[in-house]
Amino acid sequence: MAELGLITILLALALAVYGMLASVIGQMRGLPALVQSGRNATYLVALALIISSFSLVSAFLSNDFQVRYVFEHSNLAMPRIYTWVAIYAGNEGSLLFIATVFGILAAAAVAFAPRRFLPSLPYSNAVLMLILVFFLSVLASLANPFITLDFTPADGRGINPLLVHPGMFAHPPMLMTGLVMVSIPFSFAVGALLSKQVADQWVDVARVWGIIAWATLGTGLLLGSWWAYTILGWGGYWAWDPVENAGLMPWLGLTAFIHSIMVQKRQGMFRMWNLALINLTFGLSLFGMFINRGGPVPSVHSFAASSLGWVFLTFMIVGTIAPFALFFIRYNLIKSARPLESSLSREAAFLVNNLLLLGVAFVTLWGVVYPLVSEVFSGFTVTVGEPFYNQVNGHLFLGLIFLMGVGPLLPWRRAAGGAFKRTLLYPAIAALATLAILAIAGIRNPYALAAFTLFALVTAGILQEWFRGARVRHRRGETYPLAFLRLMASNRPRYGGYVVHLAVIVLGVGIVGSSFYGTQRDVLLSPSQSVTVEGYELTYVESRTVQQADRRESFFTLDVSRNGQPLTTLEAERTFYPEFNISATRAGIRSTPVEDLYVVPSEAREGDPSIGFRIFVNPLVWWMWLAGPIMILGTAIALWPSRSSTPPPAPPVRSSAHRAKAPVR
Amino acid sequence: MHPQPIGLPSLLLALVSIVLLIAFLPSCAEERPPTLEERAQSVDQRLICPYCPAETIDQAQVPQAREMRAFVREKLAEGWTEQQILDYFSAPERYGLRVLAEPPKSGSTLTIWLLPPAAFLLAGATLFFVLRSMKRGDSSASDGPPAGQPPGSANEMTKYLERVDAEIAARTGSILHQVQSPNTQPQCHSEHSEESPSVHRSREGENPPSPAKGKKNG
Repeated sequence: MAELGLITILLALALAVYGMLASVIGQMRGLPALVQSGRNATYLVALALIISSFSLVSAFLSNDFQVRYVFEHSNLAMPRIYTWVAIYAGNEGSLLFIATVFGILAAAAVAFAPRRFLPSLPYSNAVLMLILVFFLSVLASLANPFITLDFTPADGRGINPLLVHPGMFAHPPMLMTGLVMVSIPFSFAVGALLSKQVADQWVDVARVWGIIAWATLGTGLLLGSWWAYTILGWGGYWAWDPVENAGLMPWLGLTAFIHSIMVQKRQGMFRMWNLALINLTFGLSLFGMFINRGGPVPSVHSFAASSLGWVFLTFMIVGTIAPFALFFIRYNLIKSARPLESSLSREAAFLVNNLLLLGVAFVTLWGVVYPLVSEVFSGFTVTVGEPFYNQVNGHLFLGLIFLMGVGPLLPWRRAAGGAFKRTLLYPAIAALATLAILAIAGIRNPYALAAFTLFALVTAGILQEWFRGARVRHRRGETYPLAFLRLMASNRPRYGGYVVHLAVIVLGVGIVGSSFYGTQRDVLLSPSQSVTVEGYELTYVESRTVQQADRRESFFTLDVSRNGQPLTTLEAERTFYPEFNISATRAGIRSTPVEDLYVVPSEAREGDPSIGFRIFVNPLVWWMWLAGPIMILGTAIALWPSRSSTPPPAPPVRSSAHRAKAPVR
Repeated sequence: MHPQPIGLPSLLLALVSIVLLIAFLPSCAEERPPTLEERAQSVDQRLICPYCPAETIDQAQVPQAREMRAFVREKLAEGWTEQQILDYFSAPERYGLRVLAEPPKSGSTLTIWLLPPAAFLLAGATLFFVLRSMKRGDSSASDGPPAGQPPGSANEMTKYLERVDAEIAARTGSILHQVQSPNTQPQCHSEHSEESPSVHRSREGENPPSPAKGKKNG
């Protein structure tokens, strides 16, 4: 099977090179048949890579330990279901995974590209194939997952125990998929530049792929936080670690992109900016891959670390400079269809939004590279940890949330001052009321107060928009629920975006609550001993240990009660893997919308029945995980294609058209 | 002007008074000095474990981190300040600056703190000038409708906007509307046109929305 895997990689490489050349030459010489064959090559590349991946899977399933990658990342004791995780548990396998996903996505992007997009599609296809040629060359030479050993070991080394967690089924693949998916809107942008079709043809399709990539990457990041929270056992979910930052930066770039692309879609403005922005985001995703594979900065979770740092560094430099060079060559072709009319408009708000988002990305990038800068220029080794990011980015995030409250209430092109003030009135009252209530309740932290005030501003603004829109329809005979649903359907990008904004607020509530109001206690408990933390009385009941083939699992049970009323029994787990000399913990968590009670056991000591526990009470964390489904729902609404064939549900009567347009107070 | 029950000035006034209230009202809850354990945790979270990269001694589970945590508590109990403990560990003869999760805001690491605000100010200023130049609009480059204001009519414009506000408010209670220029009809084709999905559909994929299309909405 290993031979088949390698052969298909080489085949895919040859096909990708052919597809790239055929597309470009065919388009330049005007040979539609050649262009078509280039496109077909893209489909075949995807097919070849799927076969290659399957041969790796089958090597895993048949325990073919002669294949070095299988030997290093699985063993007989590993549950078969974790084969899926083992595939991308190391450098070579994860590269093959990325290449396969990329191949499939490229095929889909080419297949679903709209017809009117044809002149630049061959160039986009060539760009996609060029990126794939890079991955495939690395796979064929430096990181071949199908290298075989001279002998067949009886058993493998086993999968990294930290990866044995349900979160690992979805988090790494979504993150990797999201990272490479940035290439698709990027390739449409570069295709537009190469074919000189730099107006708005590429915008719709790039927006759709941009949003899909954004949602995938965002879900991947959130799942990663969930994994860290439940398994790493430090009670947190985000540590501004270089690898986490590497995933966050392209996500921030995409966030800026999917906002500012709407300005081009609706108003024909920011054409240059959008091209530059997607180039920049692509550069950030390449930086992310570089940091993940042999990055120069220490990180807690570089599972795919390798000696390929220089390869990815080169790829990153070329992949960032070349598109910008092209951008400047085509600079004179790109013009906005319309000048900006007012600073008090949604366009201007989007520009400030981009400034802030890129500001966060820049601060994060600066924090990641600063240790290197310092090492080179001053000879000091320094660390840039959480406090730096929290302090600097915290302010920018507050600014972003303020903009999230105000921006959507601004109309395109120009807001009339008086009208805008009246739209802002109720959200502002809601925000101030929230501030007053929290202040009376005794909350004094200025950042927490500011954050919750702004959350109220955003939420009230969204609810007001929904209510007004629904009421207009209600007055014309629809029931409120129906009116609301039809309202959502009437402008999906907008109302789907609102749902995503609500998800961000829900996420923010969790983050602010747990960062400012968490409690942490370290206690040493003997069996049947109790401790009281934040009103919870925890009693350590017993521990039991199960010896497995490759690991020793210890379970610790604690009874939890409050005011004498038994609440629940928590079970926390600590598993020791002698092969790896690693202990993995699984926290015992009681999660409620109000707060999480979170217990992690520490190392048991020989001959000592007492166990150290670290107990956290984390307020509002529950809401963070709720944000994920809401975000996906909002994204789905925003992307749901509108069927233009269906007539509008209630065509406005001509004479009352004006009334129908304007939301009623 | 329209009768407004509460205007923005009064909201600002409310904001200021609430903030003053927070600042001076003796608070009923919280507001106790942090316990020794809380102070110790805050120190733990600012010290990187020298033996396990990228983890603070608060997170790290190696014995050395546990010893450092004990040391922090011992010294705090003896009356050291948090800063003294951080200085102790980050002294060049011990672990150096790399144990500090937060680079000091002085000396050689000052640059890390100064660059972001400097860059942000620079970018903000650039944005400001870009916005201004975009507003002036090199209308030669534009195939869309010409930029709004005729010169020297700022005052008239304000009056006009007020009139349109009043008119629309009187008829429909509109909140937001847009005016392309004083010479054209007021347009209400904002995104608020919830009632006309057809209009949005017809505009999708077609750029830029032509003035004629806009007029249909108005």
